[in-house]
Amino acid sequence: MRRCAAAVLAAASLAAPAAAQRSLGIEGATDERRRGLSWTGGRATAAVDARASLGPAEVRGRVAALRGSERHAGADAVASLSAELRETVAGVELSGLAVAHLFAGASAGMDYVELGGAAAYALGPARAVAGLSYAPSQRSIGGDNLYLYLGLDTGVPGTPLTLVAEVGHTTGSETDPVRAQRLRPGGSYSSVRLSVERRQGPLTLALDYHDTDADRRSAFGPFADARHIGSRLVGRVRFDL
Amino acid sequence: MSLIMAAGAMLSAMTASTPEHIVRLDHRAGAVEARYRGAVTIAYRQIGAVAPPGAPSTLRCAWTANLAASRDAAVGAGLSASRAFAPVKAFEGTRPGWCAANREAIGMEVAARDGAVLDRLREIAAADREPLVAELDRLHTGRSAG
Repeated sequence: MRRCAAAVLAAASLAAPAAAQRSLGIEGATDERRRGLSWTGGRATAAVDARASLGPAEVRGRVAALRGSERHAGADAVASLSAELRETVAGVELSGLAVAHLFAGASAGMDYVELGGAAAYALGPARAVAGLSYAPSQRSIGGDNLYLYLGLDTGVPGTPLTLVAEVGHTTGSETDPVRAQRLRPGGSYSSVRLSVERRQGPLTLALDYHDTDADRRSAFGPFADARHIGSRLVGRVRFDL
Repeated sequence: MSLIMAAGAMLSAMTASTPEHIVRLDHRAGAVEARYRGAVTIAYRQIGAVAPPGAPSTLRCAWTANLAASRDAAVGAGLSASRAFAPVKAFEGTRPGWCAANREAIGMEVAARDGAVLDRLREIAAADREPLVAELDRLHTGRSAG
């Protein structure tokens, strides 16, 4: 956990000249769900994140408690460190992203990296985004992994509410079928997330509905955690510092 | 009598619209025309965080439309009383995503709510009635004595 926290602070300080924009937030949730899969074995989590940007470049980090995650070899925490470049072309916001996921407390090497890109377009109060995230073949995830997604966010004018929908598909190739179950339990699958968020000052309250069509019966091995890959309602609370 | 002037879309940053409200009243110094002008500015604050792909992102642009009003009152050609008011919050909101990508849309939303801005300006004018009359009394008395 200390290694994760130090990594986030180091990433945030990289882009810390006077003109940089920085932010810090803490979050609690009843589950840490990513792409429809629980990373905490269905247990509650706490997270802290930091962001620093300078012009089109940004670094950010998020440390989340995983509480002995079965999916990640008993890891206690994960730090997801990102570096991103953004550029707006003809009203479309394009971004390129690299993410390193570093796991603390895991009984085996679980770290992996991803590369990604997205295009976002704002129309009135809505914002649509399409993107992909690709993890090149790595031993820790038993092959490569590709996540394709479409998202739509819309603020409800005159209210503090935001509605969010995201659908995604996860696929990839296998070099180690057991490890590949970490990010694709039961094989390729699709996921959906529907959220409603209410923001009041620095406080955000959110309710997320997650679901997948992951095939539990085909999931196997110590990393699949097949009990926590289906539908789930998650509550979140966030405080921006 | 009141009118909104040039509440068009704000493509760039700050000034969103320039509402105007005119109050006419009778004073012992003569007929008074008090013109209240407002300058709407939008302040942006980037909040939240971009989560790793596939996790809920909370990146939002929080914005506040502030109204800075001023008053120019004239009695004929000889007496005038001006005042600048401290800026007040007209309304606020949030949008998903980056502020830089949302500025145009936020500007359009603020422009579309020019009625609410004008209502706020009218409230300021109504609250200024007594101070205005008192100021005109002082000016008129001073001029009569001089």
